[in-house]
Amino acid sequence: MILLDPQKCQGCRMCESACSFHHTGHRMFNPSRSSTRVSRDNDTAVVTLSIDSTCDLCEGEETPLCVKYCAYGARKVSR
Amino acid sequence: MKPHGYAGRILRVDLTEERITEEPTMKYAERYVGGRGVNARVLFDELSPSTMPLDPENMLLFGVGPLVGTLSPFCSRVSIDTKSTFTGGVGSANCGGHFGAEMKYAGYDSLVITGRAENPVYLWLSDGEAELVDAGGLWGKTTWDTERAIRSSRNDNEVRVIGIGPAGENQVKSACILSDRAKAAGGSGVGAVMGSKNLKAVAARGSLPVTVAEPERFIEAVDAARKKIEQFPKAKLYRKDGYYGVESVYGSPAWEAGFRPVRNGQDDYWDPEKIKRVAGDTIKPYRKKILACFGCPVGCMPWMVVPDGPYKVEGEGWWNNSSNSFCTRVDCDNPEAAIKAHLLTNQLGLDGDNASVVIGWAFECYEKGLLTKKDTDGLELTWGNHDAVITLLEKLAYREGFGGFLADGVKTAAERLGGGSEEFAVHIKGQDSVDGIRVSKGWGFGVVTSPAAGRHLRGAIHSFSPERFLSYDDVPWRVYMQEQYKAILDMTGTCLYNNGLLSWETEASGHAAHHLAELTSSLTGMDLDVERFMRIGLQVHNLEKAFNTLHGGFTRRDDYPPKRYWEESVKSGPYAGEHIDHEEWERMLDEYYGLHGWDPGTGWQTKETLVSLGLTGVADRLEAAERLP
Repeated sequence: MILLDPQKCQGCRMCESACSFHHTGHRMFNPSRSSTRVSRDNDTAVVTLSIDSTCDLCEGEETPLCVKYCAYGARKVSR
Repeated sequence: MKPHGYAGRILRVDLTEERITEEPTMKYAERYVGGRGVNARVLFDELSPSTMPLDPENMLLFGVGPLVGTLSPFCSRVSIDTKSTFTGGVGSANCGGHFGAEMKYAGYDSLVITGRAENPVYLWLSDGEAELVDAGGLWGKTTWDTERAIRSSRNDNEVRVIGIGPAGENQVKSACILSDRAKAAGGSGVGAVMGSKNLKAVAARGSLPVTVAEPERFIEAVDAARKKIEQFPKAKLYRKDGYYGVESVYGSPAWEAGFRPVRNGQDDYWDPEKIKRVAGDTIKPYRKKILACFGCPVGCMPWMVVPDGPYKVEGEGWWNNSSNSFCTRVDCDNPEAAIKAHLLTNQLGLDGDNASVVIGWAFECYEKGLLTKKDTDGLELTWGNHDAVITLLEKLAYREGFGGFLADGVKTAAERLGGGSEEFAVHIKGQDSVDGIRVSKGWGFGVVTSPAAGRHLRGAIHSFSPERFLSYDDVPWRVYMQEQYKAILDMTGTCLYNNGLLSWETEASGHAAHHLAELTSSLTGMDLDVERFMRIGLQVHNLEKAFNTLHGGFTRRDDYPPKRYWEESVKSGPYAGEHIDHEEWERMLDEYYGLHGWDPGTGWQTKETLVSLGLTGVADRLEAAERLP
């Protein structure tokens, strides 16, 4: 599974773009096709991260793309 | 078929007629890529020189480039273009945040807004549908409350909002447009134009895709850019501490290089003890978190908290220029007051850079006895009086009392007051100008010659080695190149901090242009190498220059620094005595116009140059207006 650390997340949503790229067969970017969500509360700066049941741990990819493209160390693959 | 890399549609909204139409993005994007490029072309073609900035006929364009909403790093920017309320020439401002990507997912690359709504409205964009919504209940609200209210009414916390606060509603010239409550498109009075249209906000939510022409090549280009970014130490500093994290490392050179004029530009050097109180490590404890714009791998915007006391406040934002606007310019060294001032400008929808220029000028008028407490609603505008700064920001946004006197910018205020106050009213082509330009010559030359007038995000360049930044050598060439490079950033929707790909310095590099050409080509299927991309940048720059000549009537004499910086030297610090050499400036202008193929006598473009750039129609319009040399 993917471990999430919202403390480290700065809310850029690259994980959503990367995830949608995987789910669309490397054809497009579309956060609505992403298995993961980044949500930021603009009153508190609290970032919430989630992953839904459509996550397949990026089957067929070398490494889960959300982990690969996270620049902030907010995601890790749990072995 | 929807073009790769684009939403595919430009939305046109006539607020007077409540008419909404669409046209294909590629009508313009094949030639001008997107964002500022498309905006510049539409604005030049369609806006009559007789239209005034706050007339309903003025156009307000929001443009998002092809790289926005993809995995391309640093790509979140929205270019907002109009006829400037300050100069009557081209108005252009730019912001990051999360609105741009959402606008694309909602189905639109650009918005072209004209007219004036009878009553306040906001524009709602969602999956290819656009609708004008009554905003009577939002009018008067701060940008923060506006976002809260729209999200609440849509019952969706992922709606992204860009809009104005009370300052824009009141058509204050220094009003900006803010995305996500914090990312300001400042300068050119874009917020005042939006207010004049009775348009409170644009809100977007979308689930439409951005497709990729050559996916594997695009991902290779993304990976190459990311690898380059990670090799660069500044990326780690931004990520860890935000902008001031970088500032605390490069610390005093940036302060000493004259970027932050002191006491309305009486000097460009501030007491190091005061710097310590508002810079770097002192500011750090107020930071709760660092936040990133869409798709940004470094993140630089801090969430600030002043936990208690008279300046208790919490919100996103503290920026390089905050320590200019709310510190050096008014000689205030109270960090909590400065943080409060910054966040207040975000709430009110004021651009801090612009607003602080007219405030600094008012303080100097007070010092010189040209203004007294009778004029200032009882405020004591003595240097360092941070309470007065904060009160004035409120008054400015609401045009209340003395704030109304200042609300049309420093040039107008000085013309109203007279008494010699024009001598230290710091503006370029009528645009209030925040930048210190006497020490770093490339910065100064870029700021002054920018078609967007008195702005540092065009041709301005800076090196961090004194022997280079003090030198006039090669400045025209380097500015000329930076103009083209910056146009590429603004056409694609890439942040200037893409400079993280390059070096500490603010300057164009073939490396970064190559990365952007490869990213854009593989995403869209266009064939854009560095040379072709830079040429488009040159075309866009020339479109804006032509707009300025046609609408603003600017000539060579408008490419000189504000009087204070032309005539007065830096007074103290390591660069005491540094000034702008008049002969060198004339030489730079000659060389710069020569590089562009513009006429050195008038500063105007020549027919030959415009034709060689494929802008024959532009040349024809200038000729008809007798604005060719």
